[in-house]
Amino acid sequence: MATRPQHTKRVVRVALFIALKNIQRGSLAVKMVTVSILLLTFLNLTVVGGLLNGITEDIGVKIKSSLFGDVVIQPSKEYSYIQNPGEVINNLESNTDIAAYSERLLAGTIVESGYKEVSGSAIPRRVGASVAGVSVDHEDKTTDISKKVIAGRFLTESDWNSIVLGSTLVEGYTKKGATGGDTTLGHVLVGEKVRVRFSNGVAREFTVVGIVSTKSSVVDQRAYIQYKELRQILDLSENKYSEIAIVAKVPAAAGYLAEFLGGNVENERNDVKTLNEAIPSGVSDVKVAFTLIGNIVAAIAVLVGLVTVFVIIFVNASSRRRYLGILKAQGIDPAALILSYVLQALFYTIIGIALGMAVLFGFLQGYFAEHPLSLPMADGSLLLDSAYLSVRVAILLVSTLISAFVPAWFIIRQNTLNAILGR
Amino acid sequence: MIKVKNVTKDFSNGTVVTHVLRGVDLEIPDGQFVAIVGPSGAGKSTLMYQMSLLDTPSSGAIFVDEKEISALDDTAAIQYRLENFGFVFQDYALIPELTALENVTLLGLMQGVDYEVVKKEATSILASFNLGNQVDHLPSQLSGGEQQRVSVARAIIKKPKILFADEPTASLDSDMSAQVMKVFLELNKKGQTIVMVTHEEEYAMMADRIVRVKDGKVTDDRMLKRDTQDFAL
Repeated sequence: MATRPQHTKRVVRVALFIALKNIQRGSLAVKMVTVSILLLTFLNLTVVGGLLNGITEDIGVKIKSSLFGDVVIQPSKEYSYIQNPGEVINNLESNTDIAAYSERLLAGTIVESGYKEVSGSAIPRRVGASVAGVSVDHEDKTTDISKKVIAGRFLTESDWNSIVLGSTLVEGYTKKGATGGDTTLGHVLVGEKVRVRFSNGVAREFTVVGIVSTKSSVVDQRAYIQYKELRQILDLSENKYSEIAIVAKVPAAAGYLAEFLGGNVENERNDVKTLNEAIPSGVSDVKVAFTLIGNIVAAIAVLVGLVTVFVIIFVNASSRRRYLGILKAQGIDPAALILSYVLQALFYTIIGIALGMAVLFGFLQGYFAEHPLSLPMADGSLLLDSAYLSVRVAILLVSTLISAFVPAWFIIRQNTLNAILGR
Repeated sequence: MIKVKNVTKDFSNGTVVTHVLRGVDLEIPDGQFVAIVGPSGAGKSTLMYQMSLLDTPSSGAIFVDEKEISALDDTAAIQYRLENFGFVFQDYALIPELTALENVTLLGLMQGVDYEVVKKEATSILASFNLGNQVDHLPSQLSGGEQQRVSVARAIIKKPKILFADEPTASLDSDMSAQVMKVFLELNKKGQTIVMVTHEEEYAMMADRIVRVKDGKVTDDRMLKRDTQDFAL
């Protein structure tokens, strides 16, 4: 009589023997269909989620590179401007962990276009926009806005009465529907004039020198002028800032930098946030929604794969019920027969995953890097990190194991004599 | 020695109870070739299933070498069958993806015999069954008679105490049936206990002993005088 470990070893040996021979000599058509379905299941499981991850990642990247950097200082809710601006800037200047920063002054405005052609009761095209006063040199070092100009140019230090418009404020530079039809300034060309009405009653005419498109909605809905010009328009007697975007020398240490800056005395009444904390809630909601969609698609993919493997094993085991019964009668442990099915399913799943990896890394990742999905808010490339893939691989392997085990167990556990006699 | 003591088997189909075996007593000494015969529905196969632990009697007991095997649970019964019984069925039930040799080695592997040892043994048995040239053939490449001989080889590779055969020639033509019966006779000559259920009188007559079953009872039990030469196999 064999001991338990000896018996287990025999069961595994017999299961491996049957599985190996079935894999070697089983129907090629069935093998190809099984592997193809598992390959498609794996791609379904990874590609859609990977693209959605790529999109959400790109949304964050664009907000970082065009708006907030790694850390952003904003006024607390009860203040309109950052408190202790002088000390804040002095400390940023002297902080060796900071690569660059851009201090901005924001003002809520109404921007008008086409007002020169309007007569009688007609009204010009008007759009509400936040005008950002920027120090061109600092902005250049901190963000990539100046590189995202799609018409004309960005501001220079010597510009005055010049404005750069975000692409969603004008028609023709952004996909239709990105903003509402009449909420844009219409077709405004570089060199044309727009009028900006500030909340203090000042209305000033600016020449459009450029249109910027970063795909970051906050940036593309703003208009940009010189900081000193905006300060003058708002009649501020001293430097005031609405936000300061900071780029850390070591982006991975941004959390520590934000914590350090937030702990400084001058920032007691300011909010110091990391990029993730500062990301607008709408964008966070999009990320959550995309993750959810990715998971739903993955769940459906797993279900399809699971049902397919289940059906293949069920049909195979059902059609061999008599053989299986006779093998059981001869003394083959049912566990060995069940395990042989599970091993076969795992083998085909591993092949499907391996082929899927080859398709992902040999073709799809490169393809989407070259041709990202161009969406209004971001560019979607395939983001496949090892943790994401490991979880997907584990899910598929476990699902396959279950979907092979259940039908095999269901058929093989049946009464041996009934199986032999086909009852 | 296998002993069947007052075994009954009832099948219930809702309110209708069918008494398939009605108190069967039987003793089969080691090395005997017994043919159980009877008309269809007599209970001959059911008797074999009780004796071979494929089914559990409604009452009564089965003993092998004084051990009551009818009391074994399912797991113990599988292990007991593996170590003590061999089976040949009307349906050869060879695994289609395994060669003749691999089909035979499978049970040896389950018994924990080293692969090379069991392979050598299987090759030798198949050669003795005139299947030496077909060891690497898949079942689909073998005739019915050859497949049945492979299934006999599979049953005896583990050196069972008792070889049970349930209508082993029912699917075969007379030539192939004769080949299988020859194998049985040769095995029995070497001391193998064989219990064969058949409805074919001519093959039953080749056994040492013939047990006739009718309506769930043994109606006749007699020893036969046989000589292999007489059957012109």
